[in-house]
Amino acid sequence: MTRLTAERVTVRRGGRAIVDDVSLTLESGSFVGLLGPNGAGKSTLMAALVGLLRPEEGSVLLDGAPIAGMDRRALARTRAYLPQNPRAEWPISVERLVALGLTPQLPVFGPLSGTMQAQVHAAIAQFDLAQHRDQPATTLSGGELARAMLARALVGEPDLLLADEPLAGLDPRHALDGVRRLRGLADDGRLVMASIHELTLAARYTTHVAVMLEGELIAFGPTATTLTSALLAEVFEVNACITGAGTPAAMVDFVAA
Amino acid sequence: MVSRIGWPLAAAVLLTAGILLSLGTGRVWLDPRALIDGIVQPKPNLAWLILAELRVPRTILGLLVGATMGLSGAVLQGLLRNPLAEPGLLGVSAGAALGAVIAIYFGLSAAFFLATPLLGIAGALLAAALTMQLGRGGTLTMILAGAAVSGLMGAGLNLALNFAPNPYAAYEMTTWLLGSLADRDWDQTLLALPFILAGWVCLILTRRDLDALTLGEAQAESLGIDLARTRLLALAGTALAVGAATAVTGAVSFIGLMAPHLVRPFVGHQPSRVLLPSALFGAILLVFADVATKLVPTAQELKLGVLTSLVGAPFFFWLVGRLRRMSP
Repeated sequence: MTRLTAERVTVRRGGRAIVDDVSLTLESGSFVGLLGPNGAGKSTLMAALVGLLRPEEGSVLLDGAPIAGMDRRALARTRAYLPQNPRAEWPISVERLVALGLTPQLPVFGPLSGTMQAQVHAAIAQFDLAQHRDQPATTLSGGELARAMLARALVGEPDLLLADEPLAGLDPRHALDGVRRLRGLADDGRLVMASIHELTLAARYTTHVAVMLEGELIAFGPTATTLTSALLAEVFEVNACITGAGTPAAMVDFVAA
Repeated sequence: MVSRIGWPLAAAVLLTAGILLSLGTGRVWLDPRALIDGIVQPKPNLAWLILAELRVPRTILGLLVGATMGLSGAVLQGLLRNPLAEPGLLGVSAGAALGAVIAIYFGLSAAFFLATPLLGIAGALLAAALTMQLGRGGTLTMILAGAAVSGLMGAGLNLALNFAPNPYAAYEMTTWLLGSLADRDWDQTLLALPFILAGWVCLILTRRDLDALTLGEAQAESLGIDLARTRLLALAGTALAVGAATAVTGAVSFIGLMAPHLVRPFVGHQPSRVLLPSALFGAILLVFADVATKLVPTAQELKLGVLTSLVGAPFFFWLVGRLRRMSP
């Protein structure tokens, strides 16, 4: 059982609180959708939750221990993070890209061990990338790259995965595939948090939603009870209609307020 | 095109050929037989003296400097994920040049012949410290700090040339700045060696970090990489190795830019796998360039730095063209 807790986290930039006094507790087995309009502070909160950014006030705890004091590599072995629009800067093969996910497990010198090779191959198979194994990662399509990055993030079997807009830029089929995989990871007992703009997908596949507006966390709870028309109207300033939130048949529709 | 298995073989052949040519050529052509005799059975004749006191240190220095440029270029291109990064970027080369020119300016080099390389190394370390101090916090800040330090050191260089005590001193400074391996002996090679080796260790320690940086800074950090440490190692390694190399040979440009590009396609573009081949090809390129300066029949010595620039600039054009084709 893994538990990630934010305790009164505040991040300021230029005198303004980008993340304002946010407290929440995430537990393994849940797929938390982080919702909110652009500029609400979702990315900043995620960066603080994964330990890339030290909040000015408050702290982030992993199983009760402050992550600010944890060993970088040890932390990297238990949680994975995918920033917005992750990409490969050099045309390395998909296999090597996925293997980079094992960086925190690697010894200082020497190549990947046999077990690690097997892990890489398993991750490639799990994300249906076998035919792209030797392809340069820079030539993958958006959907393939998103899968390759997920494979990269999960090859080391982390307990936590935090992904910033993993569905951005994906067509409906690939977005659906991506969100199903994220839910599958949560069902396997991992803790998954992803910021999502596709409200229908969030309503169908997340177990919990956390909703941010202007740096504040204004709602957090199980999707079925938290994601309501009134909440969407308040957050996104649209007239929304939600049916069946938290079920695979959920529908979200909205018109301008 | 060389195949993936073929390139280490090609490198070995080229390196051996380069070393033999470098040992054989010069003001006096040494017969290959005399060369081998000299190596197998040292005899204190003229050929052996030329070999042991001039050719061998010059060849070793060439290999060290070329490998340093190739290695540092590969590390910096990996760190900055920029194909145009090269060892001079961080102000280290300019610092080394300024230190060396100060030694010539004040006539210290005439009084003590190791003054030029010593002050050159001091200049490189000072420039690196300045870049580090100014450029803390981010990769872009570090590049900008490097540019500022380069500019400052360049201004110092121009000042020294401006106020040169006599035309001969100005001439000596300019020719030194052009870069050369000529008349470098064991003392200078051995002086630079420990700095160069220490620099190599720092540079090679960044290899895992450079691989992770393929995913961008945020993902690299999330994988447990301490980017501040990576930047420090890359800068310190460049300061020690490139600083010492430049302090002994003067400015030798383009090798550090070219070598990583030449080897990258053959090792699958993974930054850590580029390092050693790039060092190897840097050494090969530099030794061949040095041989060429000895073989081209010119009244005055053709300076090594001039030759690498002449050959390197067209390569740069090619690189620009290729980048333009690759980006839509």
